[in-house]
Amino acid sequence: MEKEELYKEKLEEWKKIYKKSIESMPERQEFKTLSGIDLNIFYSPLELKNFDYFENLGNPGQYPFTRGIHPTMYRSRLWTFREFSGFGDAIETNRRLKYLIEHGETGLSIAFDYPTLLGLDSDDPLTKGEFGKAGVAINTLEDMQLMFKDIPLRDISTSMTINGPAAILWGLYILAGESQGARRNGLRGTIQNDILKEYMAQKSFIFPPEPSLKLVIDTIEFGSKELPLWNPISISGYHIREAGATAIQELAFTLANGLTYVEKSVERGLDVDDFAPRLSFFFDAHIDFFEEIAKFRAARRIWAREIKRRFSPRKERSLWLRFHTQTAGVSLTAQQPENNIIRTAIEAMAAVLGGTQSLHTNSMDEAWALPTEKAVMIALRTQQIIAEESGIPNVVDPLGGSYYMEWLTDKIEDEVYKYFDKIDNLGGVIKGIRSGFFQREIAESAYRFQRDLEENKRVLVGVNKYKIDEKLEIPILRIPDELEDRHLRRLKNYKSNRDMEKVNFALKEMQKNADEKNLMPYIIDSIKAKATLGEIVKALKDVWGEYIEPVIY
Amino acid sequence: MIIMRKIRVLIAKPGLDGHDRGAKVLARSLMDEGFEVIYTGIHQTAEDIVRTAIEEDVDVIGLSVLSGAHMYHFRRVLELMKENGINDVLLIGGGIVPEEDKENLIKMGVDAIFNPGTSIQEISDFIRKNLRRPL
Amino acid sequence: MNIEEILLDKKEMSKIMTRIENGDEDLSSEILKHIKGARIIGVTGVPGSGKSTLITKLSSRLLEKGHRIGIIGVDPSSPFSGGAVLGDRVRMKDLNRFENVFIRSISTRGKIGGLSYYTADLVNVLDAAGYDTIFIETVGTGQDEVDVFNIAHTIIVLQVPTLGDEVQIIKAGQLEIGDIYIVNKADQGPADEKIKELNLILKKRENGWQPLVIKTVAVKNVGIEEIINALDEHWNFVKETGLFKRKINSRIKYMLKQHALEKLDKIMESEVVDSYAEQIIKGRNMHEIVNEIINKVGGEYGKGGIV
Repeated sequence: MEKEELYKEKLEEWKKIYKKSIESMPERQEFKTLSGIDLNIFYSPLELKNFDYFENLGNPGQYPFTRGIHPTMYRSRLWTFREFSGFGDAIETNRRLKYLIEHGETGLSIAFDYPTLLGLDSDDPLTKGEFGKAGVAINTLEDMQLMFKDIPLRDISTSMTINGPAAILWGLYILAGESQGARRNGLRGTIQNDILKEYMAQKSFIFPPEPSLKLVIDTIEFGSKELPLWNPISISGYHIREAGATAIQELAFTLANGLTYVEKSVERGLDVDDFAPRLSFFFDAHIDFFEEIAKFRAARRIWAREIKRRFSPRKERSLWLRFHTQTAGVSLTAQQPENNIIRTAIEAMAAVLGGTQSLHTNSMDEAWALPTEKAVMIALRTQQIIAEESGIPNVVDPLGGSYYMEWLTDKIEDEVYKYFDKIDNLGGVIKGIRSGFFQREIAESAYRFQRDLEENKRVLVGVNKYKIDEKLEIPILRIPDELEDRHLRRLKNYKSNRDMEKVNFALKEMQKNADEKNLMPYIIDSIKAKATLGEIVKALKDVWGEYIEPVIY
Repeated sequence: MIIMRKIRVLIAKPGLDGHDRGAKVLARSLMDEGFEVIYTGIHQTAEDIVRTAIEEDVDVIGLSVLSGAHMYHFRRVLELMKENGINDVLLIGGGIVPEEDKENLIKMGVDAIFNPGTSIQEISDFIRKNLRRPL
Repeated sequence: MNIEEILLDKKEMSKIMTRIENGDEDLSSEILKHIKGARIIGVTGVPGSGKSTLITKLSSRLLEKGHRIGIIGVDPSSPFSGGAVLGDRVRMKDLNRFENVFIRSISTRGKIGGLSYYTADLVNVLDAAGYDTIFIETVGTGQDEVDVFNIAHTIIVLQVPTLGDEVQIIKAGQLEIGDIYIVNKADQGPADEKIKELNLILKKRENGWQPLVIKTVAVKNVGIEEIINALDEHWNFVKETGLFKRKINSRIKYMLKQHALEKLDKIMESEVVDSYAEQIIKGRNMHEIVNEIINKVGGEYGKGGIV
């Protein structure tokens, strides 16, 4: 207490001495984080009056895990380096995957094209023009097998960015693995499978929220029983952020979604310790360096506290918030694209200082198109330089104890809890989605950001400041038409070489049990009967209907 | 006071991508500029878009495509505009469109493509200056 | 070419609507001569009650039965910029597979009451063009939205069991105007209670009609057929009781009033008002000024100098 008085006294004294310079900040009028948190000139013990090391931080690997979930963090194992791949057809993607493995990538990450994301086969007329553009098209078991040809699924971990039809792509992967001789219970990887954020942000939903959520819980249950090493869901803030949310909204909405999945799984009768350790998260690393680090630290702490408070698990692992990070696509500029290398490096550092378990660094040309191999290589090298040259990974949570960092971590936590209250008052996440609450919040933030840019309250280098006339010559990755032709031929052939009676029987069985039973075995049976992705999704649409979102600007 | 007619703009997202941040921000910002904006939501076909343009009698069609399928969707909308004899409507676009494609789209008859980072002011000025119908 | 032929072309019809929306009164008068007596259905209810979805479902059904459907969706305009975002079509996407439907989105352009000044004129265009059933979706701000009563033969009021009553009924004053009350999204809350409550409150109208209450889950097509039947029942009532004729009369009176009000409104929004305000401050009588303005609407103000 005496000390507090001293700090206050010294602060007043400081303010007096530097009155002039404090009052005449020449550069800017406002100092805020990217999320709009007001900032002091500096932070001191005065802002951390209630700081208790063990209560707020704990040593690494100890509750509430603010400093990291592992005691030794990157000393024992670096984060996993992941770069997306996937475009065109399965064969082309297979070639690209092998290239990445050769260059030191330690985990595969598959992006799918829009038709696949929406559960449509490539021969559906709605998919015209979209084949293989933003990822790979996978319709059949044969496609999945070709994508991983000569890549032993027994030894590799694969992350698949898929949501609406995640259960089906997972089924395809399981069967592709088994056809290589890999055992189900040894398969490692992640399906994103986070449907709630689709309604909030990314909009690749298929069915209405309630049956979609049921299907997600099916996968969590199935995973806990049959694929103990698989992460059946990656609860994702990334897309919420990219849709325009602030860091606070990203964290609040993502954790609220996560808690909803846990709650529903427990309602299903699962033991929290049987599945919570396999839940993983996926966050954005944006350009506001300190705010992002604080966000990651707050995320771990809130999750550990809330899981403990609400579900009282016995295993410590159930309290861990493990997460993958991707640098912010939305922070990339189309202008002077080389600058994006720097942005990505700053964001990647924030992710590492925030204790991420795996990282994807964006390529500089992604504001234009799918990245070229050269650009992907630079992105991967960015991670390698941080990991092996910078010395950053030597010490766990090196910013822990910084007055600013601890204050900001607390502040973000407080703001997240305010959102939790709002969501509770709305009656939970699904009600909030149906009423358009999240969509409105996100749209509002996106709109405000744009206004700030228009009014030059925010600087984007090369966009609203330091502009140059440039003739951009970025090599563009083109998807050759042959890939689509080749894929469509394969699909046609696949469809004409099967027993339709078996297909229809399997699909009917699945439909009959859609609401009552765990669907995973029925999906797997349908795939075995050679039903395609589009056919399985169509059969489920017939039972559950399709979702149209409320109109929010 | 001179009452001018309202400029009507259709903002549509053709194709299958769901990234509607830009489209929504633009819709709302154009409203702030005094335009009447018809927003159609995601997953529109070219047929949907041109039909809407006719029924709403818009001055401008703005397409937002981030899926990489821009060449296909713009070509299709242009074809249908021609088929329906629409020649007094501006066709503009935004999203992730490489420079080379942009040039080709302009050659095909698209009036303007705005890169990410374009200010709203620039877009609304372009619309006001290039309208094909008298105000 | 005569106007009915022009109206056969959707593109031309659409341009006519634009001209009318921008105040072409000669065209409005000409169109009025060609109306055929379409059935006009107003749909009102607070945001989120499912108006667009309901209209889409009813329209699909009626289109399958061979009707030609016109839809006018009204959204509010921004009081600051005068602009608007019109989003009713998002939920009507399903109707794009039909040829015989025409949807037009309009903004209130500053008017209160749930419609724009020229909504009735736009309805006339659809009517004249042979759309036999016309839906008007009102703004749905939950404010006083009774304008549609002057135009529509039948008014559907949407309620949902999930929202508080105060918001839905008392504020909106919609207990008086509805012919058919829908409790939509019945799977999301205590719908039966809501229905009981409505049946208790809703009294027989002066014209002899007892409002109907129907439970629906529009997105799942539950209750749509019942509404179609209720609409037919009310339509017969309208024709048998002479209400049809009275409605044409009230529609025309309403139009007249809107055209006049629109002019007056524009004048009152113009700089002319400043000089009058000054005169009032200097002590001139308010009554005198109002009379002067009204006289001038027909004279110099109405001649295009201002408007």
